[in-house]
Amino acid sequence: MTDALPSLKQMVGYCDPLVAEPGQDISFHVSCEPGVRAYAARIIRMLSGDPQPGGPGLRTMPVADVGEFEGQTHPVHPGSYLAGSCSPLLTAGEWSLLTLAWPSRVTQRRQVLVAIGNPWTGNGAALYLDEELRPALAVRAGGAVAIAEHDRSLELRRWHALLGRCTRAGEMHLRVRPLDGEWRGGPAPPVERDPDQQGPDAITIGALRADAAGQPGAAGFQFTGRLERPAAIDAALDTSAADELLTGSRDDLPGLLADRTGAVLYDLSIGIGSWTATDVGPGGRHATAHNTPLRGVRGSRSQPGSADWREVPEQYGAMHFQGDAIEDCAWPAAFGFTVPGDLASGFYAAHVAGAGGDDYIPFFVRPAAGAATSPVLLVAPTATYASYGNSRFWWEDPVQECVQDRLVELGAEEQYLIAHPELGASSYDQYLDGTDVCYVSWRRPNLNMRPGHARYEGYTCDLYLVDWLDRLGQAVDVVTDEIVHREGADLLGRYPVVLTGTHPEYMSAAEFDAFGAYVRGGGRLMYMGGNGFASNVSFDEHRPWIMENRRVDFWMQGEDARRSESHNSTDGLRGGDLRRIGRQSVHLTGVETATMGFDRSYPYHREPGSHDPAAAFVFAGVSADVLGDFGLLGGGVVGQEWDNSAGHDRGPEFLLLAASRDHTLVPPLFGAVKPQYHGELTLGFPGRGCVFSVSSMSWCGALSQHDYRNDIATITGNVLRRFLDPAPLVPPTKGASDARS
Amino acid sequence: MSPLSMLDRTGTSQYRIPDRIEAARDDLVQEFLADPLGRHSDDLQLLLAHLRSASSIPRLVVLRAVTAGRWLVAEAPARRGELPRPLPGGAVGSLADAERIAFQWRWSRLLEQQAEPAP
Repeated sequence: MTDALPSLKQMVGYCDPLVAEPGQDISFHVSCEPGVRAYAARIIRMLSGDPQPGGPGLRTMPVADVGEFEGQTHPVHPGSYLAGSCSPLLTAGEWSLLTLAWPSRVTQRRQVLVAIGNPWTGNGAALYLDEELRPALAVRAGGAVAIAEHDRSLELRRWHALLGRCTRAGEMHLRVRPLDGEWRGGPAPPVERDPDQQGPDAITIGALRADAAGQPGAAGFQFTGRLERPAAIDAALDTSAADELLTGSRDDLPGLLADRTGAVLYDLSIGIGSWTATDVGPGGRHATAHNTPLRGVRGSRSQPGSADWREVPEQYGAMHFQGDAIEDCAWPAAFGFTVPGDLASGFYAAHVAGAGGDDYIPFFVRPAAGAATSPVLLVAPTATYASYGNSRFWWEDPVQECVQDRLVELGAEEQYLIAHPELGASSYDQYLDGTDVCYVSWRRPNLNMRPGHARYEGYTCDLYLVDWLDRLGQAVDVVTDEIVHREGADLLGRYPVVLTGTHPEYMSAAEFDAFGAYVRGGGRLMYMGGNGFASNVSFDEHRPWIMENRRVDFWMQGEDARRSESHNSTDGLRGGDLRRIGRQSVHLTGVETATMGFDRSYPYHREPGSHDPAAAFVFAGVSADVLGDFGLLGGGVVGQEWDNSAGHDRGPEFLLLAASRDHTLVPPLFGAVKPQYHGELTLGFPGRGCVFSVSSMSWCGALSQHDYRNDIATITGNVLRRFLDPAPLVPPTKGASDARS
Repeated sequence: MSPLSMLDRTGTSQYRIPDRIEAARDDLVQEFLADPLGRHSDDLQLLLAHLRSASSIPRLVVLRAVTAGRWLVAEAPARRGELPRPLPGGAVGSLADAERIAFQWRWSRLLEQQAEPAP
């Protein structure tokens, strides 16, 4: 059946988990614009996703009608913070709130650093910055909020020590100093309070929770910037005692706090790979991070030259809190779906539709763990989907218009994202304080990952491949990057043939290694895209919906951060180019990323290597020298982003079959990452395996042309059939005619 | 902190993007207006690079309208949380017309800026 796409979005959703096996439950979470009173939900199989004229259409197969549901609008609460508990005795008697703070943005509203309870809505106290970054201490006393204020604003991007304290007599003191300066500030008028009354038992760092129970997601007044050693101490500390806690050796902290049974001090240099803030006070009341405060970032103790938090964790004792970070929309489940035992592996979606609009919520069905139901495996490039999810650079940066040589077109998804900044950004974007986004989450709608998306790359283009395989009658198993990361070469090794998607740019180092082991061990890989096997990401073990992507080689923030904060917090490896951590795609696929150019696409021109007997099977039935001067993505097969081997000796085991030429000025002006930016079609025989590399994101856009009868479909089919044939493949003879170096 | 543009991270630096419009190059204007979505000459491509990357004027985008086959040329949001601002007369029935409007809008504003005396 063929569906029509909506004009504008009235509802969006996400699912959890993204990939499931037969028997597993998936929950779907939907929020509607006000006015959408009801919607219907059904589960469909996605067979193609391009409704543009000349395209394969939006082709789906019904799986199950789920039912009709009331349209509900759900809020999103962005902003990172730590939530923990403390003794209700902490703020009885005398107490202190203290922290090191490095603010990075003026937000025009209160920014809370350390809060016990919520003094504005109930009992408690808070150390915070006002609208102009002036420190302040708020205490609930006698039914009102007493405020002690500092007269000077903190400087942006400079470390300061802050101490707010209250004595049994109700004397409030607020002291502040830049780390290289003297303490300033003094007492405020005493407040009336009952020093024996127990206080709240909830502590929040970097925000203020709406109530003492503090439901995750319901925090506000977020701080934007870095905090180190935030603490609440059951004593009215003087400044020298505060200095010991804030700037002394981390090894001394347990001893300094040993007698303070109510004290809480979070040493953020401990457990950087987790979402737990470790309390080194005697109670061990650890806190939990929400909305992904950035870890593995330099604190006040960082030294020039430090690069890896694993070697000097004490120098990385800060968390960077962001008021606009979002990890989990936490919308209630609207409906669920249990994957039937006999449902074929593949691309699926929940289609929700009501008056005025609809949405497709994609998910994937994998075969049962340990099983293979087809000889062909397609690895859906979900790490790339996650990396680009909710991209805003498209209209926030001039690069996209330049690289596509036409105005950026904002479709329904982009217009929705602009109207809903709370859905967060992609790892190509920056937070509002200019820090590059490092963590992305599946627990929010990913509006780039939609069929018919105006961008015409990624998910929609991978469906070109799904569509072609389906029309070929070739069943495929589908898994995601995360699955290959976890199950490695054992998973891949169950399949004679493995296909990538059209843009497998991002993967973990373990996943890259799995592909390498698969091919060396005799596997046959069809690399069906471009800009693949290029950059490292980390799948979080503790929260599997989070992926870390430090694109450090393209970060917009300063050189300092690029040099010293390049290592993932979640696995410790360097983010960015995989080749920087010893994983060269050219040794696996014969090519590496060359350039991008979304203005138009080019054909391949056959090279002498295409006539090598080892490649004869590739070109069976193809007589043309020019391959693919057509296609849905720019009118050719070398386009969007593509690869070559320039600068490398790819070795005699790789044949150069074809190359592109006569490019426009766009690749060298805006896309090329190396001086030679032609595309290369290759066939390689590394180890005991074989790799066919189309090396371009546009290749699959040609498969459906001329009613699926064209040279590109023929070549792709030839390779697939031959790779499925268990007969040994014969590598080229050494010195095969390969003209291009 | 003022983030860099992603343009600072790509390209081979083989070509130099001009920093001014040559008002006399009406030939490039006519080339563009005749076929906005076609393959352009190198000189026109470089001029377009200047028009599109100029930071002294707002960025432009084209919005898909509710009515199929209609678009709106608009100023992109200047900051997150703001909405696009459609240009007066920016409603068009083709993407080629959207390009023509954007080209002429940028050309005229940048020429005006060039004509202003330096502060």
